[in-house]
Amino acid sequence: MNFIFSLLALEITGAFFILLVIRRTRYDYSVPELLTLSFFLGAGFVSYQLFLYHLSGIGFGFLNLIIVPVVLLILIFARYASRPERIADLLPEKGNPRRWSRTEKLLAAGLFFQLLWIVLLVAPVPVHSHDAVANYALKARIFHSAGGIPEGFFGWNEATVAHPDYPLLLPFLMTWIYAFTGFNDLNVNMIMPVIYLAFLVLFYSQMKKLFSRQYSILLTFILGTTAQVADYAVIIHADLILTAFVTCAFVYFMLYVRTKDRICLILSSVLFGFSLWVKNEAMVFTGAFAAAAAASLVRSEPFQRRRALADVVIAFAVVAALAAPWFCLKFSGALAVNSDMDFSRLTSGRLWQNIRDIPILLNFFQQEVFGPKKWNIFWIVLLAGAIWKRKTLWKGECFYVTFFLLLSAAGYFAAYMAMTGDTLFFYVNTTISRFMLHFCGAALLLLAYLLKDDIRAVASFNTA
Amino acid sequence: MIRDRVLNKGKILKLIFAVWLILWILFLLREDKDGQYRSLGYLYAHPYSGKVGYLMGDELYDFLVFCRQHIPGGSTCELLGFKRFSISEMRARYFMWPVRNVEKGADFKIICGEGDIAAPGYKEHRKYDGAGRLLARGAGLR
Repeated sequence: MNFIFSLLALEITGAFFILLVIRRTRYDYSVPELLTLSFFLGAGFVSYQLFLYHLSGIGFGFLNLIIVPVVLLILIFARYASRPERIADLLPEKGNPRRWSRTEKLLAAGLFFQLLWIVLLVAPVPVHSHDAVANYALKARIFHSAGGIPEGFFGWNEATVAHPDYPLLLPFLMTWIYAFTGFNDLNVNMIMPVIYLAFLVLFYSQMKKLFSRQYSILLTFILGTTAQVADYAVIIHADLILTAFVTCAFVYFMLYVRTKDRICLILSSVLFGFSLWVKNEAMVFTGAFAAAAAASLVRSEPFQRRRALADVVIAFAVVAALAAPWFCLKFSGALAVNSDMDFSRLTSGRLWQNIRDIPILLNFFQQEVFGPKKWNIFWIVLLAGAIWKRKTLWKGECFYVTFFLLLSAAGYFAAYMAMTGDTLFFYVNTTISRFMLHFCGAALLLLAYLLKDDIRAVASFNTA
Repeated sequence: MIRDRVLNKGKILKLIFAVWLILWILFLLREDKDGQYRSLGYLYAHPYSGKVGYLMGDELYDFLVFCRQHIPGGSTCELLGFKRFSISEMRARYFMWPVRNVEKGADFKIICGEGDIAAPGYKEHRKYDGAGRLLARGAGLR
């Protein structure tokens, strides 16, 4: 029960932002979008809150943490209690929803079955996976037992905690839950199925704004039943969370491209900004987002350029404001040096060694693409679709998806070439499948654009 | 001609989806690791300590419980007897918190297993009957 209260407190924080800031701009959302976006915004805000508490010397006790959602709840209540007629503004605009077809019901049932399966696997197991006990869950345990981030934590070496220099969203989220439940590393595991569910529901809500409902649920089904996505919902790792933030952030950007609604770009930049609290890899995606936003400015109509410029400047400012506290610490030298990528050790000899090992990278990559255990036929279909519809790749809205994916992939490739801690074989062997997870949401969006006309050709399936 | 092309496209897409469904169910239900379902049954049937013992291995779990009972919280330890950064070492580190694992100058050395690891400057802190030794710096902290 306390676990649910901890999630409700996250919801309040996120909902405050949506109800009192976004809604005033007449941005229309569905209830599922409101609930799931509130969850992700709340989770991001918790990172921000706890980190600022640390900087201010405020402990992570229950009362200190709960004060923020309580105040925000009072503010929401005050706004709507004084003018009850405003409550109508909160509700999404109602359309005339069609009944769900049999295909849609079957796809939804499949996703429900997958979710139940994940819960079945998670429920009886305490935190146990390698990165969880070495990194995320250990940090949460440390923060909870110390009532904050202990003195000198960021300088501790690997013998005490893995990667003290890593961003802290997941440990902070677990610390938040522990503040409500007490230390319980059995219950806290359930946060991953919650994240999985929130991700799929938000993705579906976003897809519905780009495509038809039938096509949206098909895409969500593909995403949710990809074994790698489901597998990372079973263990305490930050990779699924990064995938969720990056995917949803990028889809909001695509909604901006289509509608030119500034709030979509702000939502995108907020999610990209919070993704920098999840994993260091988010820097690559945020850089690619910045380039895509700049490209949208260049490609805008001359008469819209001034407004487009203002949109992009606001988006960059939001990302900078959200990332600033963490990056100030990162560049202050207070963090332990990253043990995997240390630029002071990146000599020409090491770089040449990494370049010579590129065939190893390609070999692992093809194993991922063609091995069905983790990815089913996801990457095979994507590659086939990209070849088949190659002329569409750089046309219209598809341009931005292709651009974003290629730029991000180039960033990951460059990072592999800059690895210094161990051999490239070690890094590729231990990371490539989860790195490909980070891309799968945006890659699915590309596939959605490429195939939408052809899937419409299949009887009874409407994508428009 | 156009009609045929559309039909073929439809058949291809349906075939792709059918393959997706078959592979999804296959990899979802098959045992990923030997004894996965038996393990799940065990984990559902046992309390928290039984779950942790099962995951960690009973021998290591019993020894670490013993160590936790005899090391004051806030001390430092050095876990030995593991392959470096192995899953067992990581689980032991996690389990031992708030006893903090360090590389040098630990208050205690926890030597897991039967390995003959020298620890100059450390003496037995408490006698353990199973596989493992708990040592303390200097004269020990009895």
